[in-house]
Amino acid sequence: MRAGTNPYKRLPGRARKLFGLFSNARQQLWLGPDHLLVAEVKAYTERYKRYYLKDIQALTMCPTNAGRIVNAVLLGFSGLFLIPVLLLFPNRHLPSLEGLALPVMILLAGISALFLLFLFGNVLLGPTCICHLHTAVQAERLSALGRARTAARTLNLLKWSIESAQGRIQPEDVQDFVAPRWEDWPPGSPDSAQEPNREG
Amino acid sequence: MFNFHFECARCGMRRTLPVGGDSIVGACPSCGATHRIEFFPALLRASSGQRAENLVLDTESSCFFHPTKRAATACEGCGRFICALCEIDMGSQHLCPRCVEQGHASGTLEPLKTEYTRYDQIALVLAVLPLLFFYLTLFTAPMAIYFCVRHWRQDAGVLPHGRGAVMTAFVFAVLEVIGWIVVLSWLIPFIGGTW
Repeated sequence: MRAGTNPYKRLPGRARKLFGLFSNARQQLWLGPDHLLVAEVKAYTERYKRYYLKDIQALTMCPTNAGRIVNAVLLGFSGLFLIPVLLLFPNRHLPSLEGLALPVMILLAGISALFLLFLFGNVLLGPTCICHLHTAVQAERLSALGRARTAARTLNLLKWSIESAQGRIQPEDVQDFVAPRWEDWPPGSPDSAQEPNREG
Repeated sequence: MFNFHFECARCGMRRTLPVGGDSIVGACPSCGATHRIEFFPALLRASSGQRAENLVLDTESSCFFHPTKRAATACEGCGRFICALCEIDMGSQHLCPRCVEQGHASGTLEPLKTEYTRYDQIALVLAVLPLLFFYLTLFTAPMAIYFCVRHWRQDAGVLPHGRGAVMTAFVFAVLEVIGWIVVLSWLIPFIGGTW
């Protein structure tokens, strides 16, 4: 297919599973005229999954602590390399450290700065989240939507496209039910919501 | 009753939620993770399959594959009449199972393409990466040219890729081959003189 005639539009989202630490696979989301194309790109191959907009039942987004944990780890590593520099600095003129202190301090400070740089980048990218796309037969994790800000933007775009294809849930479609309350669910009881409160 | 089943993304607990509107924001009672869920009308549709209708009159068209069933439409690939059971919705096309099978085998049916190999990227890596160890380009540059020529006219896949990678790979590989020709043409008489 020629680039000029391609019907797909790239959706925002570049995040990788586990920050891309253990795999070079990445996911891309492309919006077609009537479907969402989820492309798994790994090395030199692309695998495609198509989700027709008329078949998508729900989109879920759940914020996670992964970003904060990574921030704490990066800060810890940065501190780990910075502490010896701070300890060495007042004693850098000691005869036993002469000639060695400055290069070691520069090296350690450089490594510490590198971790701080990653930390800064992670803070700029914002909080993390997990998104899923639900159809009648499966729930696909959208690993490209790993950052809350990007995910919210993309999910709004997707919501608009899906509603263009399906319409919206009208109140009369579900009029027998009151809006669900999360608090109604006893923890650990999956079927607790089988008998929802009925209006009237 | 319209229920939505899902697993909490953080604790993995399976939950069932009655659909009361087009969206909900709430916290999982077991782990406290906040979820934002958007619902769509597909959730409320009955998930039963298609059922083919029986022929009532002799004058009605019947399905090519099920002669006792009433034809619902004509296949857009081969023109055969097919019943609702045989009709496969391929996005913009309605095809019969045989056309889908043939399209899948020949790779001509775009919605059935599920994998694509990026030969342009392979060529680019073969042309550029070995420059770090220049002597490897003696072998990798011809390979890169082979991939460029062999897959130049290849369908660009489902997604828009353009020809930037393959053109860059070709230019690099050709320059490397020219470089080797120059180096070898300078070396061969020199080596020949020592024989």
